[in-house]
Amino acid sequence: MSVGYRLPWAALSLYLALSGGAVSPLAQEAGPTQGAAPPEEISLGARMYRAGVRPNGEPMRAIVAGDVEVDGRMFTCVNCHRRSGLGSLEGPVIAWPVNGKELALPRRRAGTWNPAKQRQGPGAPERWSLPLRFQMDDLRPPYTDETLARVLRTGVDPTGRVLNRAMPRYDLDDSDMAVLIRYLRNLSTDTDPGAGAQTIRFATVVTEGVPEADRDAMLAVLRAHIAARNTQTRPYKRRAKAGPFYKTEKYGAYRKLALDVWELRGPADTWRDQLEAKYRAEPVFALLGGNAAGPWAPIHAFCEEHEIPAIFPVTDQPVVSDSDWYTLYFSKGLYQEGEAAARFLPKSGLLGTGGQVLQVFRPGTKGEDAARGFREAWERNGGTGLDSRPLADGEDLSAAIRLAAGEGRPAALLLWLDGADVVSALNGPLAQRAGAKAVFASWSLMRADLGRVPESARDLLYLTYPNSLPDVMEKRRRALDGWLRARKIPPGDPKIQSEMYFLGWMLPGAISAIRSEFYRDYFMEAFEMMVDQDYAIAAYPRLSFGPDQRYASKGCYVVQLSSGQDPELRPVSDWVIY
Amino acid sequence: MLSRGFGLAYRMAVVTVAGSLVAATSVASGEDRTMGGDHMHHQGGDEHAHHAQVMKQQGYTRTEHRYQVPDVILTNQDGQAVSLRETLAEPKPVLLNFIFTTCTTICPVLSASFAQTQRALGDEAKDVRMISISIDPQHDTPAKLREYAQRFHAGPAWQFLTGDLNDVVTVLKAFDAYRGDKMNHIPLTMLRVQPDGPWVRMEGFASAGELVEEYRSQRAPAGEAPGSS
Repeated sequence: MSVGYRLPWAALSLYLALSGGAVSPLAQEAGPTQGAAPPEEISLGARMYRAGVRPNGEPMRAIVAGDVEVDGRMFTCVNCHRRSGLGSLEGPVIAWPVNGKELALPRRRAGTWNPAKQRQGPGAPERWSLPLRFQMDDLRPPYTDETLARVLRTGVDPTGRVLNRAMPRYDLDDSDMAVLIRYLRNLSTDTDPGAGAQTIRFATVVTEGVPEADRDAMLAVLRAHIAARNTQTRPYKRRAKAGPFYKTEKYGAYRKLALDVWELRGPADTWRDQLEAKYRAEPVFALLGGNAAGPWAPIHAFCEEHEIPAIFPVTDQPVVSDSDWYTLYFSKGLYQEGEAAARFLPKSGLLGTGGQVLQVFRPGTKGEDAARGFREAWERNGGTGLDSRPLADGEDLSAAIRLAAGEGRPAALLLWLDGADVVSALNGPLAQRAGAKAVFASWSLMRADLGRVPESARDLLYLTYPNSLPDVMEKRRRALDGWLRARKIPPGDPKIQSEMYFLGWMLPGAISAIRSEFYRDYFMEAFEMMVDQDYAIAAYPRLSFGPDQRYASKGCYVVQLSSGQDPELRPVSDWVIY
Repeated sequence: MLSRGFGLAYRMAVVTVAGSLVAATSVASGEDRTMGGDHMHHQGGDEHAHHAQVMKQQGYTRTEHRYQVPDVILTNQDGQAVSLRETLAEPKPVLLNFIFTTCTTICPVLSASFAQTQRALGDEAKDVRMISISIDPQHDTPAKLREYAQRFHAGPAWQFLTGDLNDVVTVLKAFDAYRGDKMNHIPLTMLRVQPDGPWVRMEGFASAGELVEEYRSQRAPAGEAPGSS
């Protein structure tokens, strides 16, 4: 072990004074796992790190909290150290960074403000640091393969310090250990594309078919946020040069933001190639917002494959997945409305015992997403008696409902259709109620036709409503309206503007949270760590974040309509239905 | 001269700051070595000193409290309504913790600890109720809790609860476990052996062996040696 890791302060200062400069040996030892690894080995390492599975397919085993045996199916490296390897902070427990760059550097005693000795010299940050002789000794030396293997097996770091009990002590043989170490050595080593020395570049995707007013509403708010943030460039640059030493990293991490607009033309199946071409021409660090005519899936797939974060696209047709990682959505959109109905129905008492449920939708429409959300949530909770009926092209809705009513006499009918269809069904085959105790539909799909719902059917009709209730939204919008007026942004679609306002509100926090570690995975993790928000968002009662959570809005009301031409929405459920 | 004077003052300031940092960290790392490093991030003043003795032997701080259980209705992993006050009034020993299913560092360890305690108790496990209350209730639906329960091989006596956010906050406050944001929560395990007895509050990562021992020693009638029941 190098001299000085354990020296008490008095001895150290004496040593400093006498030697005229304490330089502990820091020569980086090149271990066998250094350098690029073959891709197949990296993917085996990734499987260990992210899924807790050894190269032979068995779960990794470890002891945690003194005596608790765990296997990789319960949790593994990624849970705490996260996908980026930059670690996490939860209450009093710190999971330290374990990425390649960090392991190869000594940990400085005084924190991150003082660049490591390797970061000085040519190409180092512009700002000068203390002369070496006045710098503190390091808290730990760079990890070698041996010390890494030891800390993973025994929890004892290279200086002899014992890690927190929450760090598992892994039972790994030498060959598995080498695979894992090689993975760590290659994890988050180089800054990701799109983040330069001066600028972080973002893009927002707009496809053909998006109404111009919606496009403009989105872009105006995003651009205003980015312009506001960029006004700070000069002061930050000045502080980076002349600010106090302990803020060097904070100020030095400042980057100007740039926003490209990626306009996609033509049908959705050509978007992918266009995205690839735009990305090749000018790589971006992440996508912000965005609006597509139709499902977001093609852009989602592009981001997933290139591991590019996409933050809060404007869409009610997202990809719903438990494991995809790179797109953060406001909600699951129509799917979430279907889920809400599935959770509400059994508790509502509307079904009675053994009541049948029929849902109707047109394939390829947004209604199909709602139907899928309903079916999956219904089955997950052990529901039975559900008949999902896609309407064939040109099939008559009334006839289909009559037929179904004759067959099974469903107690609840879910019409995941547009307003005209729902109104005609309520006026037609359902006018006599046909035995149905409740008809469900989506507010989002039939919002334009609410006034046309026959008065006699209003007690029968339940709508899923995925936003803040109108009176709440109205009040909360006032702050946003003032902000828009001050920037001379004309009012546009309130939901889009509210969503983009929120994105702009969150963005600086996420950027500053990643400090100068410009890794896309870490950027996603910064959003995960955000405190739940109910302030800067008018469109939803509350948005919440968390590790691996990708849909920030967790609720959806079920409402009924009051009478009149311009009916009020009356909630009959809580925001989150259990 | 001016620059030299400034330089010196600057150096001195730095050396002072740096010196105190070294002093602080070397104390901390000294403790880490003797105590398994479990409390390197506990920076509380008095409380810390008060429990230092206990922590030398264990990976957690142990205190006893009486909490007023709030009268809230929560939802379990099967979607059934559960009155927390009624369920905790049942005359059975109970282990309680606060978790959420996407939690990074703390909850997986606490849950693994419960899983092992369950195994270690063997036949007795059916008589010891375990309750894990989600502190991220809007995300942790009953379905998510069921999935999580499976991941940790939860037996029939281990129940997972979620519910209205305000109700959960009320419960957290009642057990002095509310820390504002879910990412600020603390590793905490509660044990109560008699329904009218005190709650043993264990802050930190108690091992399964320690939990079982704590349970057995509480269980043992006065005079009987801990662990002999």
